[in-house]
Amino acid sequence: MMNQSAVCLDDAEVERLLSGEMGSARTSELEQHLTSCIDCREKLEHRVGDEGWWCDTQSSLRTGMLATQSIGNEEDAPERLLELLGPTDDPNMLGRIGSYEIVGLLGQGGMGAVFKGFDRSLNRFVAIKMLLPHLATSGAARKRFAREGQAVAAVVDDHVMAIHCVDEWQGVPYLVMTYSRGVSLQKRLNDKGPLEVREILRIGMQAAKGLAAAHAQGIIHRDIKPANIFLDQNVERVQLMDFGLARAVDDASLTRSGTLAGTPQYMSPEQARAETVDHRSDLFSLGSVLYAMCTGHAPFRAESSYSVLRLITDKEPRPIREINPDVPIWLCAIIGKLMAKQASERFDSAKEVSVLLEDCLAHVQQPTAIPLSEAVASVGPKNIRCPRIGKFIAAAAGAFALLFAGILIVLELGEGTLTIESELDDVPIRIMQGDKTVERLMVTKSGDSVRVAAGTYVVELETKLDGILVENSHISLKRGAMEYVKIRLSKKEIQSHSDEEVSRKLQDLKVADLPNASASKWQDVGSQLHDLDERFEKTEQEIERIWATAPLRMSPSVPSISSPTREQEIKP
Amino acid sequence: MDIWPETSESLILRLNDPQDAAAWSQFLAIYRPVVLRMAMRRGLQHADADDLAQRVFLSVAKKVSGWEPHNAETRFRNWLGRISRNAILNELTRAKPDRAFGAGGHDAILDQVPDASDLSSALMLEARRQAVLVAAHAVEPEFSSSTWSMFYQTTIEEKPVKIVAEELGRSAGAVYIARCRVMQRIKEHIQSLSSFWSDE
Repeated sequence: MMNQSAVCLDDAEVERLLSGEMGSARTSELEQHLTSCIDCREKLEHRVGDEGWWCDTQSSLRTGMLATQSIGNEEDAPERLLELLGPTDDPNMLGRIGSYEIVGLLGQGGMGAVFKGFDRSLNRFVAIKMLLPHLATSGAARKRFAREGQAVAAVVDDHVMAIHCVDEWQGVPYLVMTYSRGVSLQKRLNDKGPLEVREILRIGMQAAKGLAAAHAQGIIHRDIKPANIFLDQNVERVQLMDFGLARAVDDASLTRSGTLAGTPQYMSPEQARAETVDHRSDLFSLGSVLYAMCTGHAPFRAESSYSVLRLITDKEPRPIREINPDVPIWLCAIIGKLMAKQASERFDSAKEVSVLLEDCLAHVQQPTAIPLSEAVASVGPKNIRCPRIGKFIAAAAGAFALLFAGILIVLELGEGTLTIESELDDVPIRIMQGDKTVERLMVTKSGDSVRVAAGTYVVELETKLDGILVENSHISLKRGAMEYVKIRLSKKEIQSHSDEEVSRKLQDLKVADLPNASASKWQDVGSQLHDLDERFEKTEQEIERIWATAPLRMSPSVPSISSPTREQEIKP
Repeated sequence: MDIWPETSESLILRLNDPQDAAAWSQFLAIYRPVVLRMAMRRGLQHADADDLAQRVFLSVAKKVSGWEPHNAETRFRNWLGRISRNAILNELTRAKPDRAFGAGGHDAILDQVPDASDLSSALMLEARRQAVLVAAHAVEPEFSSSTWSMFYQTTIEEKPVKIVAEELGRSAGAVYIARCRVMQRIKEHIQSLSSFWSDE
């Protein structure tokens, strides 16, 4: 590297530099050096604290120091809002915004106020959303509010609240929307608690449709939460509100006080980490909303916004069925997939979600006539990053079920430890490499570990099993509902990436490796494998069918070898 | 920021050990804003939050006067931290959130009322955050105004290092060094305060 010159800092110098004991000549030399040497900069920063420490401390300092400057600001009091209105000639009206007569204040949130207005020219009521004046002091926020409003105005969909007009009044931008009677989902949840499954599906499906329409135009909502989902009073229609406004407000409020506007409870992990977000961030939030409809409250709750953010990025929410046992397992699986911490493990699009939920709704409304769609049962398997191979292994394992269960493990780097645990005592297990039996074990409840060198292994169980469950790097086998055998693979070289590594290895697995693995043993199933292989060339649906009919199934969580936290179980 | 009323003065007089007295005032600097903030976040208005804080520290103060100095200074700090956390949690969980949405009400609406264990960890977190702030104010006089402003503009105002360097006519390296030096001092200072919220 170019920067690795002789003047680089050593540890002793870092110490002296930080305590201010460094001589001035060397200090100015180092100032020059640090201007270009990223390594030394990082060395210096790490000496002070790790990344997490910097981040925590900086955010504490920011909130604290900037908040004290704006203490006692009561800019968003309702009286202040009325000052915004222009004079009106009509004694029945509160005031005027542009050409709209204001009848009353409908509500006020963290970023804007909503007035009920009357449009004289069209003789109808409208809802007018205005950015809170103190947020409108930032030019960037004003522009963004207007720009996002214009973008959303271009989305025409039944499930996106229509914006008629975007304008500015006394320097404060506002949006004009249809006025309709109804309540927000938040209010419904507050009043009535958890909803029925049918309601959950209906609202979820319509919200997903609205999202799909917006995503189709490249608009990301960024703030999907129950308060932004509007339920019409008379018609059973759901509309999304406030597209993209969250971003406009972030601009304004961050520059103002360093605090977040609004609630972070429905944010996605990537939003919580302030990373760039795409449409899949909305899917996470949609999952959180579905969760809230099932349980009556947001999935992540804590005293401070900051702790909520930590929960979102680090923790799994409490299982839905612990709170509300009436929620079907398949719905929990859908929500679980929507709320995957990794965006890549969620559904691909809002469209897909809306179709899925629509199918579910059809099933719930006519359970006898319409079966639960296959797509729902395969919510898990679709997690597979490389579905073909994943399913192939599953099917291969299925083919073996009559004789024994086999699991293929590929270990490439160095030496690793394979840990096998079982819920039952004395399960006979064989670890094979090629034709050779590397180890023969009787696994007990306490588990057993084998140290093995790099290579391709087949772990065989000389028992018939009804299901295999693989959770992150654990591979567990299931018989009936009881956890039967757990196989854990751990590597000493790669700690944090080992899971990904393993899953990649599984994907890299070539079909041809299988017969080689244990020629004699596998011989009589060779033809079946070949048959399966051919069939994989066919359509996705066909694969689904084979998958569905395989006698032994690897659970949907084969893929979640790389998703460290979730565990799903397939329904036969 | 408000000045703590005489209670603290009289208390300090009652504490014979000057180190304990210093600990008490440091302690108030950290915990009082924390109590106020948490009370307000739970929907109390400023005056009510003030009352609540008053009650908390009065109950703590009563116990402090019964404190028998044994030996180490840290023990007083740990003890103080522990009893105050209990007193704060008591008061906070007892106080009914006042649902008057006026000034500054939305945070209260948005942050729903959590259970006690959440509250306890939130209290620790808030105390730590406040300590960061106290530490920053404490070390500020140690630095030249240019060092401090390089730190402040990059860390607090989040201006890019390059721009700050240009504005102040310094090199980017100088800005990095300034920032790290200040943060290092803040860290050292926080460590000296840490006995207020750690149980050890």
